Amino acid sequence: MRTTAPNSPHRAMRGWLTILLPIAGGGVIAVIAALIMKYVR
Amino acid sequence: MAFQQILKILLQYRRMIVLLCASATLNAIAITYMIPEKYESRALLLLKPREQVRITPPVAGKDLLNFPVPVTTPFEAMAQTYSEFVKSRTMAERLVETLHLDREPVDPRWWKRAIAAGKRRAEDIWLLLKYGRVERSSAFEKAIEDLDDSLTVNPTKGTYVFEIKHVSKYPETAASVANAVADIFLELNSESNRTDAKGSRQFLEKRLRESEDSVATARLGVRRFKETADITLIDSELSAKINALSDLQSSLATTREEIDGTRAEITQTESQLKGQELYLKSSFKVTENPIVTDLNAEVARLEVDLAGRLKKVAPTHPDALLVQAKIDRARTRLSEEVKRIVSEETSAMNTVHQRLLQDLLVARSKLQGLQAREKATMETIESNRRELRRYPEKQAKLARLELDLAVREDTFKLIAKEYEDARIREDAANPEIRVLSRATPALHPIKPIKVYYAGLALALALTTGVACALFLAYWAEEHRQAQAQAAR
Repeated sequence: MRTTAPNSPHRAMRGWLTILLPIAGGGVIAVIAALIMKYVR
Repeated sequence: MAFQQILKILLQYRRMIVLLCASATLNAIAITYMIPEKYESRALLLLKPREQVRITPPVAGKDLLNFPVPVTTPFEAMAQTYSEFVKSRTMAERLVETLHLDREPVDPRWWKRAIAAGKRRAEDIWLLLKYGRVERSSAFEKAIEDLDDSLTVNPTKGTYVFEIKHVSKYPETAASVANAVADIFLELNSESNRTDAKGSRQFLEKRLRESEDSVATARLGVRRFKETADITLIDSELSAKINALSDLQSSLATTREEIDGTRAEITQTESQLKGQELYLKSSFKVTENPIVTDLNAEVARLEVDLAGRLKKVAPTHPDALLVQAKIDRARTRLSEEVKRIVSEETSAMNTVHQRLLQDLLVARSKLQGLQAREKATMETIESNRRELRRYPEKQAKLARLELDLAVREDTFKLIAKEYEDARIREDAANPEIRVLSRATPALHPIKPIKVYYAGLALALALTTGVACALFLAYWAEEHRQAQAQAAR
């Protein structure tokens, strides 16, 4: 399944992305949730 | 796809899902600290229906702008009216002035101040985008707008209670605004009622004075007319005049009858008088006519002579015939003479004539008297008729004046009653609305409730995470199959 070579810079970046993207996504989701709470309630 | 396969995929992407959920929850919690907290306070007002003391009977219907209004106003409509009244600009201005709501307190927390500044910037940008220029409304106007958004008045269903609710960033402000609204509302309502009552009382007072003057003028008019026309009780007077006229007419008829009778009497007397002599022979003496006596004696002597001669001669003898002729002549003469004659006569005045003459004179003088009476009666009747002809005009004018007076008196009575009502209304206190419970500062904010935000963010993150995991698995599988085909 792996398409990149181990210890390559590309792989390292991918590793970081798999961490940072969910964190950023969580932020976006939190903002959406806050907006929903503001306008729905 | 089997459940185990899904579970396997989720386990494979567990780190991403966990990170997404954790990030979303933590960020949501962090956001709740940035959102200003809102505190809510509510004051309850009791709307107590009250019965008004009235002197005049209540009016059957009310109207508004000439449209009929139902007698029983629904409570919702009343509460809605009060709600609009509470949210009116007059009320808002008074609240902002009283509570200095246009002065925003400075938050000691720097990040709150930073958020407020950012918010202001965002508002400026939004204004620029909307209108092409930035023109901020004054703090006073903004406070009024905020108040309009944050203040609500709702009737409590099925009761005569309605609540005034205010939401603010500060619990004390929320409570004080709700209480101030209740107080100002009561004050304004009371003031409005009192002003209305006072206004109507003053108006009625003025109208009462005018009406009083008007009644006095009308009364004076009636009195003056009665004095001028010499009327006290027009109906009685009219009836008396008509009776008098009727009496006079019957008296005239009687007089005329009497005149006719007297005239007939005069005619009769005059005709009787014609047959009477002025003088009447009272006594006379009758004696034998001496010529008749002589003739009788002559006839007797001739008859004796004839009888003697007849003894001697035949009746046809010329002597006998001569004597016979003398006898016949004497008899003829005798028949021509009256036997008796009036020798002495006495005359006297005719009493019947005198009596008739006296009667005639009496009748004539009576006729003159009756004629004079007829003339006087006719004059009186004519004068009465003239007066009576003027009565309808007088009566109509008097009726008009009296009607006017009656209308003015009725108006005066009505206004006097309404005036008393207005005084009662003005004096009455205003127990219609009162504060049932005052607002107190809330301990906890109504929002943001952190667990709700965190829960919603977690649920959203979990859904998104699962969806992403499934998509990534599908995408990886597709990619792998494409590579395998390429290798073959």
